[in-house]
Amino acid sequence: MDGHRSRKLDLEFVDTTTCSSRRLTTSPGHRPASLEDLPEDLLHGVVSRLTVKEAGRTSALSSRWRNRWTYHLNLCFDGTCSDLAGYDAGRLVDHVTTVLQRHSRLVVVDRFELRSPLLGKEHAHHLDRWFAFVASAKARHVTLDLSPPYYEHCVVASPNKYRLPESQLVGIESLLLGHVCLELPPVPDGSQLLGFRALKKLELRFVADLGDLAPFIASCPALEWLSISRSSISHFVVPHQARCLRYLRVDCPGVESIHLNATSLTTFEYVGYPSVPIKTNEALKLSQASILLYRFVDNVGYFWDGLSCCLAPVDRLLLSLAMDAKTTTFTKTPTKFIHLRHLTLFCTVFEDPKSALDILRLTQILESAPQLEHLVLHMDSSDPRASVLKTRDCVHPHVHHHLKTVQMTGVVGLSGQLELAKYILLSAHVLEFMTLSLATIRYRPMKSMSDYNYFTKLEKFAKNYLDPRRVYRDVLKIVGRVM
Amino acid sequence: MASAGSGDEKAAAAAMITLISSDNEKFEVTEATATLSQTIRHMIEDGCTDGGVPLPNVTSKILARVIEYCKKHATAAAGEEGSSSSFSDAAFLEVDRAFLEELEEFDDAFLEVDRATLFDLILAANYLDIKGLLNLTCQKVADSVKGKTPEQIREMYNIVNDLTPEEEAEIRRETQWAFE
Repeated sequence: MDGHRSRKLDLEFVDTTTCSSRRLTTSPGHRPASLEDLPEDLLHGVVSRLTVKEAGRTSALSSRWRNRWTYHLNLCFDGTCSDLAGYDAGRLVDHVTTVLQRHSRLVVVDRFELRSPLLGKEHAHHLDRWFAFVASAKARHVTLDLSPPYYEHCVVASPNKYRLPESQLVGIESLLLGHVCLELPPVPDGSQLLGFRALKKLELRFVADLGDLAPFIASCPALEWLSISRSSISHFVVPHQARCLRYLRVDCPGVESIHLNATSLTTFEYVGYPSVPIKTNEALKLSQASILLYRFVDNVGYFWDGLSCCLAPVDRLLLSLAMDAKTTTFTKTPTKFIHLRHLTLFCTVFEDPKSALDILRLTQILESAPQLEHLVLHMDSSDPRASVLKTRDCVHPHVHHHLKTVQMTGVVGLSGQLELAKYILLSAHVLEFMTLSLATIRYRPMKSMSDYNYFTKLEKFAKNYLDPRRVYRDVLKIVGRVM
Repeated sequence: MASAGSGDEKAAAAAMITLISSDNEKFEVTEATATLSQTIRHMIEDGCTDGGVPLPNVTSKILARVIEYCKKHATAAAGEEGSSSSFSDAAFLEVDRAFLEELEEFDDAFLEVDRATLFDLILAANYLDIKGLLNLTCQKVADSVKGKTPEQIREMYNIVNDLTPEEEAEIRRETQWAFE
């Protein structure tokens, strides 16, 4: 019982006899007056919180500081940040090589990071050597991001990408790879890859030649967090062996199907085409989801038919939908989102709809989410004003017992927008506040003079339509013109 | 982790632990506060906290500050402690920003201490194995060094320069990359 405590105290004794600096602190009355009175490992901790370059500068402080920086535990070389700004590829290679050569072989490095768009296949032998260092220093958190600075390049496969020696990745806890080729070793049926047992977090960006990820994921029993973006993958399967996987993000334009067999997932983020079939295990109970669909075609139907089933258990949902101006059909059998409490909806309307029913299709989501408390609705349109301001009453409100807060932006007067707002006002019996921003489209405020006149008119129109008798004055706030 | 122990933790929340400083002052804290210290957590797990936990390396003045920190952070600890601490789920979903900001303000104010106290806090955080506090205090020292010349750092922390001008020139040559 007392074993642990005495062990701890014994350790202190050993420390006090072997380390002069510790002695000062264990006898009451003496206090560390100087930084140098701190134990060596803590000084390494302080040094490791500086950038490598700043740490290198401490070598000139005194003889005891001369080599302290070589115990740096967070070896981060970020060619995109100010510390190494202006370095060309050659200078960056020299810098990293010099630091790693001098680095103490006695410490287990916590983190190794290299970010630079300047390095690639032609620096393979340097990168190989650094990765050998990473392996021998047993770095736990590793980043190799050679992505170009701009996100536009969607080219995934590239013969010019550095090919990573996968054998050097053993024992890593978190790994981020950007703009490289990673050829995962083939796994014979039923067997497991060794060496990835510690991997908890994996992020792949612009990674080529991935092949089939499923056997690899199955060999990472500790994997909790997985994000794959812009990487070459066609059929993505998360195998059931990924028992710890809680977070998954997929943002790969080339993906053709997604199959989630892991039942531990709680958060799922998807960015992609509204045509990709997403299949899930029935036991999957997501609690949060973010689904951002490309906005080329009307995808409300895809949401209901292809996605809503696996999203049914969520508590929070962020969803982007696109609606064309022709589709006014409502889905026949809407999924019930019985736990949904927070909904953020990005909605793109292609032009001013001919019928209010187009936008009023959104009422189906509200009716399917009886527990919803907070709704944020950002609307955007290629046609940022209505040709004629007109409204009609066309949908019978369905009583909603929990909806408390509603924020709508981009209510530019398109057919159906004000009807939707009125529908919410009439249906939500416990509404605490509702804000309508007319002239604010999420990413582009409108400011010209003609806009000013239009939105002044729209504000008046909206007030008269939504609350002619001012019964909602404590709840409803309409923000018209842009200041 | 969190799910497995949550029942026990709730039951233990009311349990009080007595911490005894080097100058024999006694502090009563909840178990939730005390277990921010891994050292004390292990003692509790081993069942050796009856009659109080003597902390011969920590003075009452410093222990009071450490407890102040732990109390404030104990509420946030549930999310921080598990192995998944560094993985924030879905950053886009509402984080309790107000709370985090308040915590940050607390931390900033907490660090408004003289150097000797800061060093004492580092030593106490290390001895008690309180990761957040150790990180906070070491970062404070690191931040104070940032952007300073060696001369300024020596002056700030009373570091005696025992290097001859020749040695110093040699060091500056061998770590030239740091001074560019």
